[in-house]
Amino acid sequence: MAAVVAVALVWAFYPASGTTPVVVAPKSPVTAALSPASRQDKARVAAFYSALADVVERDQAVITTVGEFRELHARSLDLAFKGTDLPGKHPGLDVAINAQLVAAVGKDDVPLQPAKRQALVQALKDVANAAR
Amino acid sequence: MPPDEPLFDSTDELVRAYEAGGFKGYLPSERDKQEFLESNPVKAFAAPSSGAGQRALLWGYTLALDPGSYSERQVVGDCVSHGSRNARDLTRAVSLLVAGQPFAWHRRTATEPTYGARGHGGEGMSPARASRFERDTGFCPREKFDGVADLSVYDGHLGARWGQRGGVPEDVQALCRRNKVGTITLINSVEQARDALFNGYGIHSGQNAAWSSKPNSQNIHGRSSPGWAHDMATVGMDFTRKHWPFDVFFIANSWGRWNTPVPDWPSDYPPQPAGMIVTKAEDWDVCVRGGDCWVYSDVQGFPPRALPDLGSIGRI
Repeated sequence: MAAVVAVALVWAFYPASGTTPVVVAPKSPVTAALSPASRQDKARVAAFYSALADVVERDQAVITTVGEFRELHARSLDLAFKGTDLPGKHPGLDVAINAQLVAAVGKDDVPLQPAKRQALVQALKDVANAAR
Repeated sequence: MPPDEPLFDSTDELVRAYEAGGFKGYLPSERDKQEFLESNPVKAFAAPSSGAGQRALLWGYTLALDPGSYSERQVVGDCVSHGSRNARDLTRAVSLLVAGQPFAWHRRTATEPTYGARGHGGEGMSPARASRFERDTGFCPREKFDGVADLSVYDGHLGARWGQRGGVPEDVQALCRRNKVGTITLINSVEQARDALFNGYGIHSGQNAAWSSKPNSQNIHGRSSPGWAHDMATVGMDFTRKHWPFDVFFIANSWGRWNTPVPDWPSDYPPQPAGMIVTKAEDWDVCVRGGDCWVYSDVQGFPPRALPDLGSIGRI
């Protein structure tokens, strides 16, 4: 009886011969928000977050807390994009980026000790990659 | 002297008072020590791991979170409260940056409440009494507390006055109760100090000992005489014997720019704070021999501030 059940389970869950299971990765909210964007806009966002990741990764002394990162991020965005057509052009992009960063380091203003800094750097790189 | 007149107008005056004038900022008290130890839940120091052959440059963590740390110059005889503050802030910085404790640095902490709790109206304090206040009552951040006290900028007279008037006001004590030093232990050997620092614990000690203001040919500050009745924090050690061919400790003083920094400073070290003493371990031994060397751990941090967002909202 057990052997019959086992065979039935294998048959039920084994993919039909000749078919390859297709795994569809969920689209990142950042990618989704930028899907109607031009190639240029995507490149601008990707370049910005790639550079920010690089700065945060190399720095060990200036940005020492999550609050200081917030300040750096906000001011850098203003310096890079304020007065251009980008702010608000792709609805939901600001929220999607924020959600990705919050998922990595939280919203508490605590020190960026090495593990937290690395998580933040990875999240910034993920935003850059999702924008490409 | 009027209560608000600085006891020490300048670094020179401060150094002269301790060196030649017999001024006592450190007042040893066996009674205070016994009272503290009898009521202390931790009876003996135990470090999780040995620092033999290692180094711990812990002041770099404090400087990373507070670049102005170690810059306050005492203007009254409150060295014990500077030493204990530097020890607890150092422990806090390490626990945040290395151990990743979910607290905020918030800001440097204040010396005044500790000094106000010295139990008399004169100058000087016993380290055991400071330990007791910080363990049982606590400490405050350097902040202005409207209607209570302005602790935002160091004001040595405030603590001096509180001592003259019978102690720290109740409303200030209430503020201090939010943050306490969880564990304070007395140590009595160089090895214990080495291990304490290696495990990220700040130390402060009161002793009758002095160091030269000029580095010697061994690239350290040698011992000198007469001794100072003084309390200072020990904020690092290097037992690797790679840069110095002997074991060294690093002491943070509270006298401002009173000495000449050692000239040959390793390039991979954090900066030398003004007034730092670099001393051979065998010279530092006096800090434990006096019987007033205290290790601070489990310092309760400040709850983190919740940020509204991480900076992108409305900007892209």
